[in-house]
Amino acid sequence: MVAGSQSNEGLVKDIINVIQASDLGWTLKRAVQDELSKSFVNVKDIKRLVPVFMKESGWDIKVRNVVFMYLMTHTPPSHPITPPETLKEPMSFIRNAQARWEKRILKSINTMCTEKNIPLARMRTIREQADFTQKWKDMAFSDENMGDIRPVYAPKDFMEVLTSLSSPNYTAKIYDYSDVNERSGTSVWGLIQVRLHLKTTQQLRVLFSNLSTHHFQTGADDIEGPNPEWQRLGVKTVQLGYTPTAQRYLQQGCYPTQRGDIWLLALGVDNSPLSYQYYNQLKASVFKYELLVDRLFLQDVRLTAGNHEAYFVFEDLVVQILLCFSRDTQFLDHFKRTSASPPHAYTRNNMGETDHTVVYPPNGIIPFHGFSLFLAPMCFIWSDPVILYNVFKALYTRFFFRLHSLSSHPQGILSLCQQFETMLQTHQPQLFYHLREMGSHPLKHAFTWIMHAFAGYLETAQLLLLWDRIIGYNTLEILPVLAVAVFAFRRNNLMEEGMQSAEYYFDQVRAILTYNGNEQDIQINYGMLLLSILCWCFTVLRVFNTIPDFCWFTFSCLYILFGVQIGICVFVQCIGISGVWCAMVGFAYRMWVHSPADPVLSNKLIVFATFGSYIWANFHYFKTESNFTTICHLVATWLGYEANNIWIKSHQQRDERQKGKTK
Amino acid sequence: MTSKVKWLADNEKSVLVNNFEKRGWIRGTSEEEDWNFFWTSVQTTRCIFNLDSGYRLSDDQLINHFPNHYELTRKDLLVKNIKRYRKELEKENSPLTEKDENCRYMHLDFIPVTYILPADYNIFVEEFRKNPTSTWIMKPNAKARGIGIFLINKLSQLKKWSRDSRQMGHNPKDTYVISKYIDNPHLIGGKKYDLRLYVLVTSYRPLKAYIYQLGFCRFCTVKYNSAVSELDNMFVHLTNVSIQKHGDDYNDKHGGKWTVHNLQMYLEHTNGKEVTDRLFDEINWIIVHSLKAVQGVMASDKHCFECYGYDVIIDDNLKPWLIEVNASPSLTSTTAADRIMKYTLIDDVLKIVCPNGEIPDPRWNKVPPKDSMGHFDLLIDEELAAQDQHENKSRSVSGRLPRTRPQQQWK
Repeated sequence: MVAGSQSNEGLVKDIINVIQASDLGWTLKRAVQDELSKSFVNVKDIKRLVPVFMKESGWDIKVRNVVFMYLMTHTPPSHPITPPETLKEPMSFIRNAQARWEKRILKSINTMCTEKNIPLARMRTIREQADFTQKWKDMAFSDENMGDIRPVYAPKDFMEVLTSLSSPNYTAKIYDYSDVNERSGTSVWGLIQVRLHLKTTQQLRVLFSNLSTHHFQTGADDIEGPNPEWQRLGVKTVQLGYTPTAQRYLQQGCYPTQRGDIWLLALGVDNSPLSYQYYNQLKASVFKYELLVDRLFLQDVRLTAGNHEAYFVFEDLVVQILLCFSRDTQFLDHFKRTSASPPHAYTRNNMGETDHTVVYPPNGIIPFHGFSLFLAPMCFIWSDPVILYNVFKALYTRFFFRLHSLSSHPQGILSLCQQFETMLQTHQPQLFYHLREMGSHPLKHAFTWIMHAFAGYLETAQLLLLWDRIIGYNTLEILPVLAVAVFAFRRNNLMEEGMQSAEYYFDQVRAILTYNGNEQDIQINYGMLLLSILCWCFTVLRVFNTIPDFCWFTFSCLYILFGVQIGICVFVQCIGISGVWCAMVGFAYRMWVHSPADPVLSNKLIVFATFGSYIWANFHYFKTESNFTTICHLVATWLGYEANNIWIKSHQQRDERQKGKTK
Repeated sequence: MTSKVKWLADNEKSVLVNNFEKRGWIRGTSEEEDWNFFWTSVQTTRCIFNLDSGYRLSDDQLINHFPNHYELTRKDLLVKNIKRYRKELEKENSPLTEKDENCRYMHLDFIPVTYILPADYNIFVEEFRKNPTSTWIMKPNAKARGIGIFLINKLSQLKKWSRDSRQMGHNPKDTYVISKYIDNPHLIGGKKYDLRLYVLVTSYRPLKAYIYQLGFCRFCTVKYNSAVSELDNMFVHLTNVSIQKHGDDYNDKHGGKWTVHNLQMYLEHTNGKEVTDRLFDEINWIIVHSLKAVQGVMASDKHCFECYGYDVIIDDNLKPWLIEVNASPSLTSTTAADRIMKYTLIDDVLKIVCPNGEIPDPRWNKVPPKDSMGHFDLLIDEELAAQDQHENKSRSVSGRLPRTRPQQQWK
């Protein structure tokens, strides 16, 4: 209890520090001072007046929003003796892997430097600065000659790192039948080998309960036209100005007109004059220095956003913002909450000696292929670069940084990938197995979707609706859920891949046997089949001595007849089983003519009924179907008749031979 | 049993041929008679309808141009027709001719001030002197794809041009139009763009027109700059793909083309839904007005239909301006998405003018069922509007204008 209150006090102190350091603290202080300096204020009343003033002037809402944002983005203070590296990442093997990965990136940047002979950073000459300023004004970065700079890493490289990661004290003992010879029984079905604690489907259902179908969903339930009530609610949300309300609103998505305001509210971004100043400072530092990462950003924009059919319009805007982004040291703050650490470089003093280390690039983030896609879709919402920058900053430090660092955080990319694989295995096991057998592992497709938060993969309107939900639920866990949903939605197409021929023949056989579901045809034909089998029993049975012999003979005949029928149908693209009963009736008729003497009247009746129905059915099809059908029926009947002739003859010969032997 | 439609086309564009073949149509043999469906260039249409040729279309023939489409598609005639349309409406005291305090039409001021040169030279000079800082754009009357276009901001430039062209021995019949240049275009990402919208007209009397949902914006590759020094840089000012294609920054993945859906989404985010809806409504009205302006003079031949390419520029007050109308919008595709779009366009055109791909029947009332309109939306159908009005006579007739359906567009 004591410790709790102590930590609470610490928390309050932290929050006060945050407010005081922010623009809000400064403007708030001034507003309160202005209010109190009014003549009617009595010194005694100050304590009472300040809260009243705060409430009346709406300042308390802003303070509440800041407190809410702080509590939401900061984890509660941990035990005081926890070492800082554990705070960043509790699992040592992941921590080490992240360190190795960072080293690899750094090495490839250094190689790039030496190969291309480009310095990591250098100051522009006055003349170059003037040129660059002009270029910035003209937004003509596409002129910049980039040479053959390649992205430092692509999602594919990062996925390899993720899949090669495995926990040293845990081996998944799932016996894998297909891999018996290769990796006997040590692999899991998915690509991700690490097992982290994940939310169960039930927990996800609870978490995303507002996504259920009985809630209104923007983008799904408004195909007829926008929902006016939801729009009104949006206007009200903006008027209220509460961050939690805005977040709750976003859980069901919002309309384009209100998206700008609501995102600003939900992300706690206020575009104060100070942030404009700050952006200008960053711009000045871009003009002054040239960094190697500039080229990486430029090249990335050119390859991804600049080539994208919806984002190319914003190419230069995106470049400007990303260049400022690389200079912003405020991003170093977020490294406290992530397993990643900013890379360092050595500066040299004039003497050429190593002076001291600095973070490089200044914001500590090295872009990967497709990084600009985190920013480009937002250019649809605002055209002011400063607002765009502030929102990008908020989104990056809250969500996107988790998508390219190794960590055991439940929203880290590792957990998201594992969540994807587990969910797909649980809910679409056949699909998962099928794709795995085909050699195109589901994660290989879904990984870039998740790593880019679907940017560039979904149409912009849909993407923004998805990002609405990310902000609304304050979690990235919706990404794997959507990825699984995409797979489930495309299930049929995916299953067909490679199975096409088998599936096709299966469908065809089903069509032949069921007349494509035509009930009348089914009744007539299967009725006739039944009758002809009965008739067959009463006529053919007498020839056999034992019942098993007869059954064996009948079944083999049926087997052959059905085989021939299906074979012919597949060949000439017809459907139906009429050939089977026609041949059987033909066979039985020859039998009946051969030895008509059957003593039992009911048997006689059934046989005659069969012949009668046979004639009726043929007449029916003669009227309704093409002549070809009737000809086929008659041919089948004749073949049955002839088959019986041959069979009887061979039977008689065998009998005679047996008789001869016995004699 | 219907026999197969025989088609002919002046060019072998794959988007056309593939569409014909998809319908199982067969290629006609002679231009004289043996065809049902002819996708012609404007020249061929002129030959076919020429009085000298003495050729008359038979009942089962359909052609993709109206005989005097140039009333709408030639820059000078369009201006003339619209000016006359305004006068006629004024005579009728139509509420559409309402003017604001600056004596400008509130609803009919949708083409930039334009004069025909050399005929209107004196009026132009008068206008120019009133506003000597303005920029004007010169366009040859009968050329397309940005050929021969240049900007001027001094009278001396015009005089020099007229001197030069006389020296060069240009045909004096080569008339130009000079229009006020819209030097405050709406910019996205710092770049100028214009809209290319497709409009299908199946009949002029009664007027039946459809607008295509999948229009696109064409972007300049270079940042817009209205400075005088950039007046000669056509990459800044002209959005024509045939010009931009030669720029260094032309990207053949997207070809500088942005869908109208993207524009709509961008505007709804940055300017709000109301403003966006009003803009797209106004665009629809512009098209309707331009068609009604030529309705009287156009020979409404029942064998004809026409798919126009409308060029519209939006200024920074989000007011749309009609720049010109093309009779034969390009069917050449620059990108993969472009090819799909143009293929679908032709497909949808054929769905409306040749329902079920059967042999055309001119007695048909040209009211396609709703589900066969593809990506086209009905813009105006005077026949349906008249029916509606007839039915609703008992109710107060609110529509001073024929019924259009500008709402529910670009959804």
